[in-house]
Amino acid sequence: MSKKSVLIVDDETEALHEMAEGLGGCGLECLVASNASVAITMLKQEVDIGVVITDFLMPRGNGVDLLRHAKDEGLLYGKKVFLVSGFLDDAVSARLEELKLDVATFPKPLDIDEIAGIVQTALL
Amino acid sequence: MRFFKRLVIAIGCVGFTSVAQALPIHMGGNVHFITGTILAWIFLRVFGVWVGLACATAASLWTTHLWGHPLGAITTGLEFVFVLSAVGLVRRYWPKVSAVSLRPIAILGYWLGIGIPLVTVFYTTQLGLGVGTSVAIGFKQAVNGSANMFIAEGLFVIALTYSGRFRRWSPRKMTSGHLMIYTGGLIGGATAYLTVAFLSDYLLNSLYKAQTHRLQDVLYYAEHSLVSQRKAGDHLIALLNEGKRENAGSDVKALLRRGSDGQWEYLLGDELDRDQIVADANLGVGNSFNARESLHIAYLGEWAIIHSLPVVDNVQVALLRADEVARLQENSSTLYPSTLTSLALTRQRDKEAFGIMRGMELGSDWVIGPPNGALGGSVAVSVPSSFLLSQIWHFQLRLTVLLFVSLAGGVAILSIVGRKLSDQATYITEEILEPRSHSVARQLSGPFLTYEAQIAVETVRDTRKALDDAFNSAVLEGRALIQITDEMRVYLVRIVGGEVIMKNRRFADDFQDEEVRSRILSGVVRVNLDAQGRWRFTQTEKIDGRDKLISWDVTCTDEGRGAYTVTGFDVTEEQSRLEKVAFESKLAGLGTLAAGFAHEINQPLNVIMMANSNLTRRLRVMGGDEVALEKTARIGQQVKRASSFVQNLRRIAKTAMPESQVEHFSLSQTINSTIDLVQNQYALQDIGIERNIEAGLIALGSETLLDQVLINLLTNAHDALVERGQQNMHIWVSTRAADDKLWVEVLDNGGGIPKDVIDRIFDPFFTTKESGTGLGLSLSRQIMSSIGGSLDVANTEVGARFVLELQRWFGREGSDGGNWS
Repeated sequence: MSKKSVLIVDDETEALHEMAEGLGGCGLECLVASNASVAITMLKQEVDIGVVITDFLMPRGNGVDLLRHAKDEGLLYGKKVFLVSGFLDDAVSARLEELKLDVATFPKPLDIDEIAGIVQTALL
Repeated sequence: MRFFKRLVIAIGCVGFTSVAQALPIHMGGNVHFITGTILAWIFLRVFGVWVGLACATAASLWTTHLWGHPLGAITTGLEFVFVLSAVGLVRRYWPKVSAVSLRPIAILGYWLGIGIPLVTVFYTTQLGLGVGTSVAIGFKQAVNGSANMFIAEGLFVIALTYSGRFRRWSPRKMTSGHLMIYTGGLIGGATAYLTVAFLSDYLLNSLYKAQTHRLQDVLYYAEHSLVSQRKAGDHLIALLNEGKRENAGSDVKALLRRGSDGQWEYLLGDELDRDQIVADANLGVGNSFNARESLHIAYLGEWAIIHSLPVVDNVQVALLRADEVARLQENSSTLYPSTLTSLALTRQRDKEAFGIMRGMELGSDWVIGPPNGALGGSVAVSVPSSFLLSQIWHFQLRLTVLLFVSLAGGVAILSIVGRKLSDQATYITEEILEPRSHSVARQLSGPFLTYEAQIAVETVRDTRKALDDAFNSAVLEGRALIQITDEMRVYLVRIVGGEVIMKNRRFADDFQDEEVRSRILSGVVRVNLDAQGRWRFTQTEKIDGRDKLISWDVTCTDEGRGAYTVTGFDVTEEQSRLEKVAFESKLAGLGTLAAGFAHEINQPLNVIMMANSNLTRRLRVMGGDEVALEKTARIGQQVKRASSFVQNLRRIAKTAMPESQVEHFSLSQTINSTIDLVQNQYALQDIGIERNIEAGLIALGSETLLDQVLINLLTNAHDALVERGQQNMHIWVSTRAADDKLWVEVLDNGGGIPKDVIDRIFDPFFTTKESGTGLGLSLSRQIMSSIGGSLDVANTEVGARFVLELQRWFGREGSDGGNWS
């Protein structure tokens, strides 16, 4: 069984790098994308992505839009999806429910160790 | 229920009309078709065309029935149909024609063009009357028919003008022109009636008296002549009895003798129709008439004397026995003993008139002398009634033509003057005042006089000068205005030379005159008046123990006379609503601030948190300095603490943020009511708001939130205009609709937004105003996106245009129209 990698999507470079470093430090292989369209491209090209972690608030297409798009194109099949958001309110939850996708959410600020644990479990 | 109510009203009206039309004729009055027809016109005005037509039909049927011929239909029914159709057609195809004098012109036109010719033709062909007589009858009916309408319309218009209750009950467009024409028509119509009824009767009675006198003169001479003829006859008979035939004198017209067989024989006489006389005598007839002479046969035993008198001016002479006199006096409806009163004569004449109309034969007018012993009977003279009647009709022809011409001329003059007045009113309302604002009209409860309401609306606008002219030149208009402003939340008072010369009731009720007057006279006004001679201020007034915010506007219309027009507009409701919106807006602004703050803080906290985790891991991998690890742990705790504070802040902010409940609501109504809110305030600052709002647009979103956004945009436009301070300031609010979207555009002619500003205009805390918070537009944009719409701005040639985009709702449940939820 080949090792699956984690795709991290966030518009903020600092946050992207810190998370990639953190998850990498926990032995996970990470790919990064700074916006939704890059993320879609990577999802299409890379076959061994096992987990997608995306920020919610991004300027060109937010996290939920990205997930919807990806799902419509069948790019999320067999992948675990996590949404990161500063404030998870009812509106976001409702949109996720609409997607009919099993999405776990992480509130900011993120605890890298906790996330690493969850992601590793997801990849098993 | 409504239908039945109307039905009951219609039946009631028809009943009233019928009784009013039929009763006077049954009672023998000479007001044949006044009352019912007047009622029909009034009912037409009050209850509408169909009720009016039904009443007119009833009236014309009654008249037709009672007269026994169909002319009643011409005078009422046909007249109604023609006038209504003519006015209706003109209104439909030439709407620009001034409606003020349509009805009078239509009715005069009807009588001249149709009514009089029809009556003339009817009387000449069907009843065999002379043309002159028939034309006279036609003109008489024309005077009556048009007078009916003028009287009814006059009463109606006066009631409408001077009774507020009546006006509310039956709203019609009335102008002072109407008032003038119909009041004039009322007076003219009533005069025509009185003239026909009294002057005509008086003159006719004189005519009868003169006739009677003439007949009595004829009677006197006839009696003498007959007596002398009788004496000559007696003398001749005596001579004949003595056998002196040759001495028979020529004084006797003719002499008959009864033969042994009992038949009369012509004995002597000349120039007479012998066969006729003998035939009459054999029948025992006393009087025999031919075209030239009245013949009388006096039977004296075996002799019969023929008296003869020439027929002059249709006057015939008869010699009546006592029983014949009695029969004539008892039975004949055409008998006019000289002792009858003039009233009785008039009644008799009317009966005659109806007799003619029913095609009855005419009788004669008689004057009968006392019994004469010498003649053995009473001498009586008579003229055919038709002779007198033709004189009457000739007299009436002149009278009625004169009346009709006077009425038509009077109405024509009144129409010209009235239309001028009416044009002036139109000019004032439509041209000078340019009615842009309709909000006051909408505030009026119930139906109202459109154009005067418009005038009233304009009282809160800036064209006081024109209004003042209207006051001075047309007192009627002023009075109407004063009455109308009573119905609204407008105070209106006119002060000239320190005296209150006109004030509306609302003002009189709520204010002591001295208050405002002294304020104006104290010189404060003169100090405060601007270059255009106006002073506007808003202040709290105590009215009925409650604080009311009144927006006062003092305009000096004539400084020399010290003339001021003061209007006050109660803006308490508007102000409190504006304050509420402003407060909510502030609160929402605070929420936006907090939310933005929370977001901005949370991002770096997130990075710090993750960087700290990574640092901690590295320290551990590198074999870890305990102190350093302790520090990183502390950093982690503090970040979490800060984070929880931010979460709390965010939660609090959320409660202050406006609820973005998604509902469907009438976009058109919301926009209109929002504009209503500010329109009057803006109008006082010379800013006109023009709307082009499609009715019935339903949007998805939140009415209260959109209200806030619109207020923000209007305030923005208002501030831009006021800052620029130009002439002719305008805000245009319009809507556009597509299949699934709606747009609201707010455009001003304030010159637009500077280039360096327009890109940042939606940024929070960005403002160009001294007192601005910089949150209005950013909040508006946020609100729009929260209800699934958007807000954008662009410059146009005249000024800035803000465009709101909204989701359209089509009434299908669950057809979401957006995915913002």
